[in-house]
Amino acid sequence: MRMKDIIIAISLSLFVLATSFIIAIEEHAAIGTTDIRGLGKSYLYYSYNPWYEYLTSFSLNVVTAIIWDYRGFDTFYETCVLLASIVALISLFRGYVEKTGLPLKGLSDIVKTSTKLVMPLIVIYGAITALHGQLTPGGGFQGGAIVSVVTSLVIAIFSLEYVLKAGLSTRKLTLLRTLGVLCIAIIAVTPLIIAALMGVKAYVFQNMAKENSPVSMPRTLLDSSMAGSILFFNLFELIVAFSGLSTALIVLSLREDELREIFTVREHHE
Amino acid sequence: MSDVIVQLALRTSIVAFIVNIAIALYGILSRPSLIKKYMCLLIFTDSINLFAIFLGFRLIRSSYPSPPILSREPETIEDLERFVEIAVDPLPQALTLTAIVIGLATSMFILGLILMYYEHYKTTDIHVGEVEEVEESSE
Repeated sequence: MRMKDIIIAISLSLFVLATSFIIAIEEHAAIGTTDIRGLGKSYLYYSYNPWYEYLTSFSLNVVTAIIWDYRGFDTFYETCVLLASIVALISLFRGYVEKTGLPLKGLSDIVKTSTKLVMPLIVIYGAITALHGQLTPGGGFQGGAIVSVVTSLVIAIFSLEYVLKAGLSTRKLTLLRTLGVLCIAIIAVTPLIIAALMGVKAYVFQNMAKENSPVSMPRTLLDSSMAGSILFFNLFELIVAFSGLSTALIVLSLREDELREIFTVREHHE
Repeated sequence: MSDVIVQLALRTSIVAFIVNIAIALYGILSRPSLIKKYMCLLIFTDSINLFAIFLGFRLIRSSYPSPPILSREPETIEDLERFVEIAVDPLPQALTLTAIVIGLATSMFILGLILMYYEHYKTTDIHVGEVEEVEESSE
């Protein structure tokens, strides 16, 4: 045991020394340079560029443009990973029954009232973060994470009972999440369907018109840039992230009685 | 003179990130409690994500670097070129966002596994579980 600690300490200090030497002294990584990589520069240049119509995505936020336009498939798979992890979490807690009627233990009335006042503001802030993802810092996942703060506040301050009474059972949230991922997939293949009807060529996750395919998502909405499909993707990612994180919060904060139910059911099966 | 200070500050923060990563690795390797391991794993991923964003930083001599977001729609192509000259690299930020989402997804599952471990063994210490398993197999 003693020997193991010494080996770990020596190897970790060697790791720190070697990595610091390589990065900070020998300068094998670009730190604090006045110029950036060419790939990053080209993303900055083409993200909102009306002079190169076939390469742009008309999104003022370059990070959102990379996430949902230039690397759309990557983000779709990432959303699927989020979905799969929630499915794994639910299957880990299989057999649990949402119980109502357990004794309610919330915090004091002052805390409850102030939380009720703050909750709609958090929802609005999260929705704005998601829906203005192409104009300001933010995006669908960030908005969904902000909105799911409401769920955690309600669980901590009221109790899990109120979340279930409000109709946010894991069953409904799973339906919502699956619908969100389905909508993202539908939006991704919409250009293909339109192009098939028009008899021209198109690509999956196509946003703006390309040189050999004229299909294009709408560019502006009510005089402000909406960046084509990025607005829809952000909206549905908001739904997916909110329902996914809320499901995880509900499942991870199950009461003792419900957890005991899982184990009795499981032992019965075994 | 100010250049030297800025470069020194940048390198000091890089070394601080690496030390942070090493401390988190120590926690993952040698703490017996699963909750402590989980916390160290979160610190580990967050340090690496911060480090990745840091690599996209850009030093501008005349003014401050701009975030990779256009503040208004560019009217001429010169506006756009000026923005490209002062904005930081957007690619590490986009990749880090993906890494954060996937890290969150896996960490939620790990937390569920830890909860199940606790329900089974009534502790989060990994060595207690090992001892029990040895006793069961010897019986």
